[in-house]
Amino acid sequence: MTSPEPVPEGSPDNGGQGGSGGMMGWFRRDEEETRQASFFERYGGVVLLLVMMLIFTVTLPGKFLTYDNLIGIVGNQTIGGIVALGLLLPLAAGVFDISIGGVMTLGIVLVTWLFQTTGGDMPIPAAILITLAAGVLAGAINGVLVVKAKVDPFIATIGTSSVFVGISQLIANGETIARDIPSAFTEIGRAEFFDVPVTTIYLLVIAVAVWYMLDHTPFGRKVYATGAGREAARLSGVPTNKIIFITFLISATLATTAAVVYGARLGSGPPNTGASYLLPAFASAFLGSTMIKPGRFNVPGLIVALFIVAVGINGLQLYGIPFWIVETYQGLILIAAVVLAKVRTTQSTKRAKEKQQDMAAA
Amino acid sequence: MSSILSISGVSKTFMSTKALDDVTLTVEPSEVHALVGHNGSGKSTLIKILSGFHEPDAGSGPFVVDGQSIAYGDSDACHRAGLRFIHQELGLLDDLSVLENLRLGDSYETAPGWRIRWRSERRRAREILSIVGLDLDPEILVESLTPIERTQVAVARALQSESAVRVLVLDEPTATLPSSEVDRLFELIRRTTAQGVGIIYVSHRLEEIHAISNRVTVLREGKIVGTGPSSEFDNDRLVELIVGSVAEESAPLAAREASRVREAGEVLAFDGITAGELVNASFEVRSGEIVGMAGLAGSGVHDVPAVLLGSLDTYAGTVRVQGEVIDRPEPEELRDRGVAVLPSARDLKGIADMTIRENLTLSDLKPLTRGIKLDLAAEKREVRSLIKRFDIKPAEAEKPLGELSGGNKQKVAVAKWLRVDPDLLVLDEPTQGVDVGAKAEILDLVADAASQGVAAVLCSSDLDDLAAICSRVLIIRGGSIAAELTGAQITREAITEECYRSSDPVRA
Repeated sequence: MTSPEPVPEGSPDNGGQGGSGGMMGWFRRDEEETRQASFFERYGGVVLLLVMMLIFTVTLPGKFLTYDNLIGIVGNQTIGGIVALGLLLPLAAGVFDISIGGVMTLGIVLVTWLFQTTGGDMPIPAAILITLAAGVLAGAINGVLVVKAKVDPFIATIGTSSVFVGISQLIANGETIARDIPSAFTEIGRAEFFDVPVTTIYLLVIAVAVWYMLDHTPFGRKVYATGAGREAARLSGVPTNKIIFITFLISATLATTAAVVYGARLGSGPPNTGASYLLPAFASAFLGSTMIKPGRFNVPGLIVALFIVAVGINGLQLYGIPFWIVETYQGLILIAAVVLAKVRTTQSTKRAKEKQQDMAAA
Repeated sequence: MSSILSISGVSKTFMSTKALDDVTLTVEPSEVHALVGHNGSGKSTLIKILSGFHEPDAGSGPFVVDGQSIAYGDSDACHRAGLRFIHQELGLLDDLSVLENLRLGDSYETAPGWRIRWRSERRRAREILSIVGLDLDPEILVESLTPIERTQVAVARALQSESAVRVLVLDEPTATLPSSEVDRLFELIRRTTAQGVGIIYVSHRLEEIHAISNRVTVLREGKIVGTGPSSEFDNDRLVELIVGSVAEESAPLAAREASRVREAGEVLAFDGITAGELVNASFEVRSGEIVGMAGLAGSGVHDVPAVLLGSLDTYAGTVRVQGEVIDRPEPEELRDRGVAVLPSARDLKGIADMTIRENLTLSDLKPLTRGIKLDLAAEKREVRSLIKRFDIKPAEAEKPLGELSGGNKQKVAVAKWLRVDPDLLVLDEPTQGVDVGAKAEILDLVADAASQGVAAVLCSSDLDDLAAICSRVLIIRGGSIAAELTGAQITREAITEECYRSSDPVRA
């Protein structure tokens, strides 16, 4: 996550006049401070998760810490997790993609409708490919609007989201698509390997892929650069327009992938399901950006955040808390995450300014 | 006759730079007092202190307006005391009407129920505009006005007041005016001073100073180096004061003489470029040269890098890089053709939230890429040697760039670009805001690169930099290359003289 303001204006920088013994001592002390603050910032979320699990285990004996319940928690997060992983790309590049819900709805409706329309005869790979192609197209539309027409990403994707939902309503004609869905297709969503749902494996594979892309490829570095300072990145030779376009493609493709898995698992295509995945994706992405690698949207942080959300909801539900708590809880997480991130940014900007003054005084 | 404004013994220190050193300024009623000084002389700091934006150092003398003592750092107090400021950008909102601009920050006259009395507002606006000699419909949008009309509206807005306006500060008022309109501005100034208002006239157009001002004060490096009746300071004397004593010929660095040229090919050419302030500007840069570009604010000197960075639309002319015409310059494409451009804006030199390491390698990740993978270990190794070679402090690759001093940030930017082995380096104000030590290091880096055949274009307002390493200096005036200095001609005084020389006569 980037700080919205650049390094503070005002006085011209005038910096260090060279090292001295005093400076070295200052460096050493500072490194320690940084490392200490870092540990808490980085792994605080993991600690929180473990504490939550501990509390639930103790207060909900026999209910929380069972294989079925835990696998259920993980299983429930896989689809939302795939959507959230896709969202990481545009967020890391500094743009909002609000259309992931709409794209997902379209994907679910499209893939199931392809089977229903052909009486179950459409080859499964074909149906999946066509749906994915539609997803890529959706992402491309977003990309063109933002990069070529220079529409604000937030507004553009809210707009396209409605269009995608509209198209799915056209296709579904107001009903849930449920006829002639081949069982081979539903296997894709329901199979289990050694009692582990296959969707969990999808999530894992995609998580590793996205993590690798962000942390270990030049593309990922350019994505982060675009998000951390778009104009400065462009001036350094980063093709920022191209990067943003590609992140929209990836986000839509993964949302569509989640849609296909969802359709397979459910065995039918209800209208407008995607909408409920929008907020959780943002909440986990933002909360994830404050953990493990604070200040950046990152995969491990996202996974931990996903589970903080999931475990929290599961625990609350096991307590018998009313249904509306779920939405509220997710909303609060999103707000808390953004506030946390803002506090961090203000603190680090303050620290940076203090360091500059220290160096000048030295 | 007691002064209408008096500020004495003012000093201002930023971090470790002394922007103002014991400055005293007085303005008499009805006087036009010119304030002159080169970039970095402390002019704008002084104006910001007068407007209450900055507070001077403790121990500065009193600030008195029309006999009343004013607190420093309180812009409301300055406003109440009758000080008004018109900056170069005028501060008008194009999308609003003249009337709305006049009332900006103010409240409208209303009837019960919050209804604005438009008729009486329009009448009032017309009256105010007549003070500045402007007769037009107040409902016209500001964007349709001519430059002089906009200036007049800005002045009208400043002068409209319940309480008396005592001093009007005009900052480079003619920067956006065509020469034919300047006398209308002077007429406006005379009207204003006739009412007893004092005017501080900040400008670098020396002929204007002689045409309109009564007294002149020259600032250099934060100190007052001359003050008195304008008639006693002719152009030569003014330039002398602005620049300082004729500098001894600075020891030429390696690249000052004709350097060992790779192939003396044309690396960059602007051919009849019209963009930003540039009008039909043409020049060439050949390999191994260090070409300086000097010009006053508004001359277009900073538009040269801006065109290359794709930040400005080009309306005419072509840009050639290594002989090939580039249609829409983008930094990525330029890098592939061997051109690196370092912008002047502090927050655009690098990405503050990314680490030194990430910044250093950002311009070219290809050498560190194996297949699709980024070789992080190799990156760390390369960065370590870069940090050592360029002496970047603190020597910690994982520190965020934002925590570095201005000088070190600039060194990272220079290192980042030298790393891609460019044939041409374009540097926009490379030593602005950089401490003395880093300044010398950066210039050495550029000179060193030039001695190995890398061409450089140095767009700078720092006369010392230009005189130190450039083999040629192009003076940009009025949007095009007006003069060229080579070899021994390149002195601080000569550059300044050329910059301040006027191309069009001023009708007083």
